[in-house]
Amino acid sequence: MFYSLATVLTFIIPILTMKTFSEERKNGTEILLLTSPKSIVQIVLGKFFAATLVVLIAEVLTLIYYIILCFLGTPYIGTAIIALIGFLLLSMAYISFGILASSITENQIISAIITISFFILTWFLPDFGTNFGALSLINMFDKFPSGLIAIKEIVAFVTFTIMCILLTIIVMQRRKNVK
Amino acid sequence: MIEVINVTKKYGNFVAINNINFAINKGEIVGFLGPNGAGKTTTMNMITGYIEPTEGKIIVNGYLMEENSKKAKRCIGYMPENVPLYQDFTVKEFIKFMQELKNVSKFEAKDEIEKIMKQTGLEEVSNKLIKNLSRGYKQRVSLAGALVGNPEVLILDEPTVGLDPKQITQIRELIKSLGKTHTIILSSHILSEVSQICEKVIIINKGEIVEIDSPKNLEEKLKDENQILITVEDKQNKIEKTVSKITDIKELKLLKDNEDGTKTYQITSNEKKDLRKDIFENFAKENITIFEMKKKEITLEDAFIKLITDEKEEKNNA
Repeated sequence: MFYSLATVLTFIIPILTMKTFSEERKNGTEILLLTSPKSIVQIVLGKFFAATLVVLIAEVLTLIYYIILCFLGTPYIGTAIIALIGFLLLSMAYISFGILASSITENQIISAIITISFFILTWFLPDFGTNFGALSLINMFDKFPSGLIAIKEIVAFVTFTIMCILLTIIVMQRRKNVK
Repeated sequence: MIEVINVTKKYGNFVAINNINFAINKGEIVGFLGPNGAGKTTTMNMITGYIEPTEGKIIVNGYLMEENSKKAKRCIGYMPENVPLYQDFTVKEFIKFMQELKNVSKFEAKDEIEKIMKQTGLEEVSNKLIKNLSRGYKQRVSLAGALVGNPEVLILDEPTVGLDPKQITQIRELIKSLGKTHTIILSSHILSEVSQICEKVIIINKGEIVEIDSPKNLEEKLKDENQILITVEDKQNKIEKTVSKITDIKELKLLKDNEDGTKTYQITSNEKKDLRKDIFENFAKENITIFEMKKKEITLEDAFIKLITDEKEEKNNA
């Protein structure tokens, strides 16, 4: 189930993140945020955690299935939770990239297309060679549903997320000078 | 309160703002004037910290914008042009959101919402979605957003654009009353508005400051010649002869030949002398009947146009 969910994520996350900064910029409401006493770091993190919260709520709702399973038998709760954590980490990595894409364009559609094409590219990277395969986000997720806490993959997700958030902050900061 | 020191803003090679300097004291209402593309909005955006100047410093309430931007921004309420608003919020939600953005403490928040709504006359629409409001109300919501957190400085970019005359007077009254407690900078195309509300005017053209003065002084400064408008009935066509008798008259110009037999002239005198008495006496002697006579007032409008065109000529000559 989680493998197909990760595939669906490729298309859901861009829709979730495409408007984070693009819409603000298009409507001009960006000015309200940037002239407020909140710093750019706070604004970017706020957007990031807001999107993550949506995914988290969706994840919590999947626990209903787990409860149903409990009535029918005794499923391994550990495996389920590790899978959910992996799923959340993958989502966070995806969201951070989506927000970065949204911060560089005024157009929501362009932002969504950049994000989806990047995800699909990383999806098919393993087909180009094993070295590229190591960069595939969706493949990194593979180990989690089987109940493995894969340190290497966790580190990869977290660093990718931090990198994208930092880039977003830099993009927003740069805009002050360019705009 | 606000100091703008040697500020320059460049976009690539294009110089939008060229080395401007001005200071605004506490409690002043300052009008920002200039033709389209003069750099009014750019300057305002820099004061509010939305964009950074290429060179120079901006100090708001003693805080340097680059270093202490949080504290500086906290002192400013900005109403941008084109009133950007979150369309899916209700008015109340929007004000709450602005309170959170501006770090208003929760204890004050509730009272403040009511106070601001009352001030801006938004009570009736407090639960309506912003997208369903009319332009005038949207403008007020934007102003309400600027008032959140009771900032010492209010920066209003064309606050009355797109409103009907009644709304314009309402907003103007509101700005005037706010002016008692706040320092206000506003930009406008409507010069009569500026001369009514503002104590000080900054005229800016092509990114440079042309003049900083009070509206009255500006009008006064440009009164280097006196003009009188006069409507007369002159059956014997003696007006030119009569006028030549009066010294100090520089020019007599026919403005309009009215259909009822009267003619309207513009008389320009050389000096700052009021010639109305001389004209009356001389015209009466020659049996020229005066229907109407008035001194032409120089408005801020004239001052503005003159300053802007003067500067252009200077540049062309240079």
